Amino acid sequence: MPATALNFNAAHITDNYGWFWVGLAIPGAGSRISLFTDGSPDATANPSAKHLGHTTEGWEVTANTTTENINVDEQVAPVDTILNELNAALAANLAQTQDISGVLQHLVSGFGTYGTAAGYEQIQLGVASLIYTASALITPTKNDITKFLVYNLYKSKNDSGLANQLKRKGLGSNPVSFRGFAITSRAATDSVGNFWKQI
Amino acid sequence: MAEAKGPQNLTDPEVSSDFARSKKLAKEKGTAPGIDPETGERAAITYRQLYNETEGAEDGKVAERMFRDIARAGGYGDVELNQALDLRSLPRSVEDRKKAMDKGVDMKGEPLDLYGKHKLQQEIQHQDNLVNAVGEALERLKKG
Repeated sequence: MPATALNFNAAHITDNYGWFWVGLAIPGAGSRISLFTDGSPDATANPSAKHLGHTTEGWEVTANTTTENINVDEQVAPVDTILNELNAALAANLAQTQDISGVLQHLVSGFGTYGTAAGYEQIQLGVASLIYTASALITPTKNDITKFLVYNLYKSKNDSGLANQLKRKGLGSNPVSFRGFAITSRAATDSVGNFWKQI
Repeated sequence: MAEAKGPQNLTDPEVSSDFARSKKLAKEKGTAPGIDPETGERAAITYRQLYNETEGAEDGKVAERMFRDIARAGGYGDVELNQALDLRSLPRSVEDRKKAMDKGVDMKGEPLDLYGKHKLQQEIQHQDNLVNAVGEALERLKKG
């Protein structure tokens, strides 16, 4: 009788960094964002895309649910469970903390307003509009660097605000966490984002 | 041998990627955001672009109605007005499904049985309807 095949495959181990983009366009129902063959966003389909630069230790992708089990008196184990929340986020420590126009202005949704004129650029702090953005982390697959893994959140915002460190020793950084929000009236199975891989 | 592409060879994607090259070309040709600088095709739609095209009619309400119309037609959902819609993604989703059909597999890579084939045909039809609905919304936009 043949044995069940094992799934040891070093080609599927992640050993590369990715590009993180904000300001992406949202794909239509049942679709994925448009990329160029080098893995960068199609500039025409994503006219407002911005890359957020270096990080101190790369990016972390998380997606999980919280649930509430249903217990009844007659059974010792839960008989069902209720889905409470879906939490999806892309998090990192950004290193380019002096880049106000290219990085920091994308981190201040709800409390910061970017502006620039001759000789300065600024972020005014106060109550501001909540701005959501489509974001994606894009990295080449280990097996074929012309194919890409994409972690795309359709509607996200940085939940970590500004927390710049200024210091002589070590690298100053700003922790960020772009949390995914649901787009109402989109298909329920595809309302938050899409993690996908080109094959 | 062709040069390998991807993040590992590009230190700054806003300078040395296809994205950067396309942006530069659009700037040189003066094409509006979302319009392909080489083909003139509309690849993305934004409320701001619609506002410009409708000259801010009714304090932007016309542009907003158009934006919502296209977003709903293409199943993008009730997106924020500051976000863009990727128009190229929808026709590609039809092609992806047709390729799967030609290969005899469903969208999970499983071999098609009759049930799977009919389901995939329905999906292709549904995606095709979305493409057409967006196309019609864009036609209405052209006609003003």
